[in-house]
Amino acid sequence: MVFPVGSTLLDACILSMLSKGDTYGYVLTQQMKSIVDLSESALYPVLRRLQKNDYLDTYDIPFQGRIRRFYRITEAGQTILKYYQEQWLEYKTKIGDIIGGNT
Amino acid sequence: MDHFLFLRLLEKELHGKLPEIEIKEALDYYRNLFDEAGAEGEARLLHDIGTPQFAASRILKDQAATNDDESEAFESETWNKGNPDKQQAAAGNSRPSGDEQEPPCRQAVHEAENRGYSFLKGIRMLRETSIAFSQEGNHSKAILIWILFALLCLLVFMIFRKSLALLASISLINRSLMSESMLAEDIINGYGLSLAITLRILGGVSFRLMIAAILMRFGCWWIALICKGGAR
Repeated sequence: MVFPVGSTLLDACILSMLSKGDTYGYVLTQQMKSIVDLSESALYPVLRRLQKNDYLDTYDIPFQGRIRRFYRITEAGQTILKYYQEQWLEYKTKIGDIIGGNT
Repeated sequence: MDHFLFLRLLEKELHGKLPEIEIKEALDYYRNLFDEAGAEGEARLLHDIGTPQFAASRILKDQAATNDDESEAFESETWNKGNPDKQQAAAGNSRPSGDEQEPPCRQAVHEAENRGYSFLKGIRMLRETSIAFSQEGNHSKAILIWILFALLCLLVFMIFRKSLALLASISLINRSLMSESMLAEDIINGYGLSLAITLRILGGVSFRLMIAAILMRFGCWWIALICKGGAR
């Protein structure tokens, strides 16, 4: 993709994925990698930041003799996601009006 | 490299630079990824993640960016990776997954800057102002600011000479240009080197001049070694 994905958009993508259900790190990073060309090392700081801002939290579940860490969106995360969705719609419409592609 | 070594090196990279809890969180994240990827996915995951140094630099950079401007730091990476021209340029780089890594010396400077050594930033700005005056044709003001810049460089050197010699030595060790045994000697004697690096950091000399100073420093070391008859 030629368009850069800023940190806000990345936050919105992660929160949006988590709003569909809790998921563990590996799946989350693979899903993110399927839409944005980013390494795991670049995603970790984003997840950590979202966690520090209380937009997501984690919990551990034992799985096959080890621990699987799940990520879960918080209420604050839901609120900010709603705001991001509104902002995204506005942004998408405005840019679409200029460069075309709005249907 | 296997993932155990990766985790060990990552821990080493972060040690002392982040609180223990943050280091544990980062290690847990990577350990979880490796666990999920399994033995068959380990090599691919290691390749995607990059070197432990790179992973550590991402974490530290974001930590610093939290105080500064986090979006900017992030956008540059996503942009580089998403831009086909830049990807091609990166593909031409022979170092695998090292295309976004900076030399240790520059990293040290960034770290110093991020820790709030705004004095250095101030001096850099002074130099830029001088260049701006010079471009506008206001040469007397430009020369005046250059003199001030030179004096401040000297002041910085006087204050930071020991730590800069240390920084320079560490940077050389990182590049395997120097052994640790030379470190102590360099801290004491490496002022010439540290002066060159001070000036380079502040933008006063070109990269080539700095290298020349480093070579001179090595010249001295070899002469010393020959004089001692290879006693070391």
